[in-house]
Amino acid sequence: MYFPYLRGKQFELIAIRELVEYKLIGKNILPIIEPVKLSSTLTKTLELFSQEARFIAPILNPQVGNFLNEIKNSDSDKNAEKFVDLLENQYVLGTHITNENTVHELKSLFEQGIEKDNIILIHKNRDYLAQYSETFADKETRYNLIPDESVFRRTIRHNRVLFNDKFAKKTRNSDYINAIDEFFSDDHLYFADDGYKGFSDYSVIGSDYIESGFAPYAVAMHIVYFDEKNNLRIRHFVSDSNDDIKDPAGKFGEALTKLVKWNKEKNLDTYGIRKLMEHYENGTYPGLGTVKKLSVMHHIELMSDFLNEVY
Amino acid sequence: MSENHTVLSKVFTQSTFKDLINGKPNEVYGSCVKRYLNDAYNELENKTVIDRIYKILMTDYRNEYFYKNTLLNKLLLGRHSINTTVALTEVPIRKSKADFVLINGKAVVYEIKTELDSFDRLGSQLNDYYAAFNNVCVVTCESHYKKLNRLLNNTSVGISVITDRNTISIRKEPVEDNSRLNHKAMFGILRKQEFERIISNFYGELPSTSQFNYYKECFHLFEKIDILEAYRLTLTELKTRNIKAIDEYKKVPTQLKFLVYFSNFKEDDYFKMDVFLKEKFKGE
Repeated sequence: MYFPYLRGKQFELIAIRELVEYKLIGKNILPIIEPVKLSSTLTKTLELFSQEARFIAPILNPQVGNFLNEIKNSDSDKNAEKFVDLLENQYVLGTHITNENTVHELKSLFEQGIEKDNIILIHKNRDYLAQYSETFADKETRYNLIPDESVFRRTIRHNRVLFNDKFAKKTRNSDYINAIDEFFSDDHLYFADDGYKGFSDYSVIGSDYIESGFAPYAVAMHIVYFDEKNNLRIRHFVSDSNDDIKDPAGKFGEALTKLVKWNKEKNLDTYGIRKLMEHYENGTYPGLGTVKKLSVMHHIELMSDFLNEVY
Repeated sequence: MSENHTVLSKVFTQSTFKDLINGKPNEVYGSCVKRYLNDAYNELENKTVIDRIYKILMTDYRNEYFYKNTLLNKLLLGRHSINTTVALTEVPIRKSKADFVLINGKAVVYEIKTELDSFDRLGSQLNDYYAAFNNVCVVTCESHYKKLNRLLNNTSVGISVITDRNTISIRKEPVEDNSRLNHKAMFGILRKQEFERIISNFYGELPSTSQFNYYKECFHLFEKIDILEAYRLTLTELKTRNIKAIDEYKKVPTQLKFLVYFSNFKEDDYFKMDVFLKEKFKGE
C-alpha cells in the first residue's frame, strides 16, 4: 500500500480528490493529509473519500500551517462542524504525529471516540517511542509510519509503514538543470520483504512546508517514471529563459516542450500526463498550481497501477 | 544608532496596521508602546501614542520608513499634488528594487541610503534604475553626504539630504539621462493590462497567439516603438496607478501617510482607521 503524504493545500487536495472522482486510483492508495487550513476543499475531499468508501487519513495535530488555530477560533463555522463530524466516519482515519504530549493527546482522542486500532501514528522522533509503548501495550495501531532506522523497528513491531522524503528539493528551480534525471525510490519493490505493510513519501513536493509561494524565476515540472528494473526515477523539466519572474506562461511552454519530446519515447499515459499534453496541443497555461496538481496526480496514479498489477 | 530599536521598524508595517484597524490585538504595537512610553500611555488616544512613537523614530532611529514617509509627505503632498502625481515603491527593475519613484510630468527614482545603510550595491542599483527611468536621485543623511558626493561627482545622479531638522535639502539636481533607457526593463515594470493598453492603442490590436507566446509577442511589439515614445507611454500607464478615495486619504495623519498610500485602502478602511486612532490605547 502507498501512503502519499500531502499538505492540505488547495491543489494537493484537489489532486487526490480528482484521482478518486475519475476512478484513477485503487484501494492500494491511502493518502495522509496534514491539514494546513480549514477550508471547504478539505471537508469536501474527506466527504468524497467517505462516500466512495475509500480510506483517507487527516492528521489531527498538524505541525505546520494555521489549521489548529482556525479550528479553535471557529464559532459555528460550517467547515469546522463538518470536519468534526467527518472524524466519526469509518473511512476517515484520525492520524497523530508523536510528540512530547502524545500520551495525553491520544487519551483525549480516545475519549472523543476514536478507536485505538483505527488510529495511524507518524513517528519522526525516537524520543517519543516510550510514549507509544505506554499507550499501545494492549492494542496495536492501524499503521505506524516510521523512518527506516533500527531504533524505530526495534520498538515498533507491527503495522509498520516505511516513511521517507524521497524528493531531493533544490533551493531554486533552475538548480534542477544540473541533475535533470535522478533516482527517486525503490521502496515499492522491497517494502514487503523488509517487513512493512506499505511505504510513504512526500510525493514530488518534499517535506519542506512553504506557506505561500512567490513567483519563481524558472518553471520546473517533476515527473516520475519507472526504469527497466522498475525503480522509480524522477525527471525534471525546466524552462530556459529564467532571468526574471516575468512570463510564467512562456516558461511553462518551454518546460512542457521538453516533456512532450521526452515522452514521445517514454509513452507515459496517465491522466496527469494526458492533461499536460492537451495544454501543449492547445498552447494553454493553466497556472503553476495546476501544474503541480497534475504532476502529483501522475505520481499517485502510476503507483496505484503498479501496486494493482503486483499485489 | 542602537540596534535595539528594530521593533520600531515593525510597527509601521501593513501587517501591524491591518490588525490594529480591524480591532485585533497586535503584539508588536503593544510591546512597543509599553517600552517607549513607559507608563505614560494610560488614557492616551492611539493617535497620540503613534505620534510619540514616530517622534522617537525621527530623533533616534531614522529607518527606511522614516525616509520614505518624509519623501512622500514633502515631495508628493508638499511640492506636487496628489491629483497629478503618483508614487510607487519597491519597483522591480532588473536585479534591483527602486525604493521610491515619483511620476508627474517627469519621473524620478529615489534611492534611499539611511544612516543604517551601506553603499555596497549602489553602483549596480543606479545602473539598473537608468534602464527604466531617466532621473535618479540618492536620498541620504548628513553624515553620508561627503562620501556620496565624491562617488557621484561626475554623474547625472542627484543627491538630496534629509537634514537633522527633517527637511529635504537638494545638494545636487539630477540630470536627465535617456541614454540607458531599455525596452525590456520598462516592459518588466508594466502589468498585463497596462502593456496591453499601450499595444492596442499604438497598433490598434493585440497579438493573437498561444498563451505560451503571448508575453513575448507583446514585448516584440513594444520593442518596436521608439524608445522615448515607449518611455512616455510607460509613464502614462504608471500614472494610472493612483490611489482611490483621495478625500479620505487627506485626513490620514502625517506619520501614516506612506503606509496608507501603499495599503490599497477602501473607504471602509479609512473609517476603521479613524475609529482606531480616536480610541484609547488598550494595552495588548
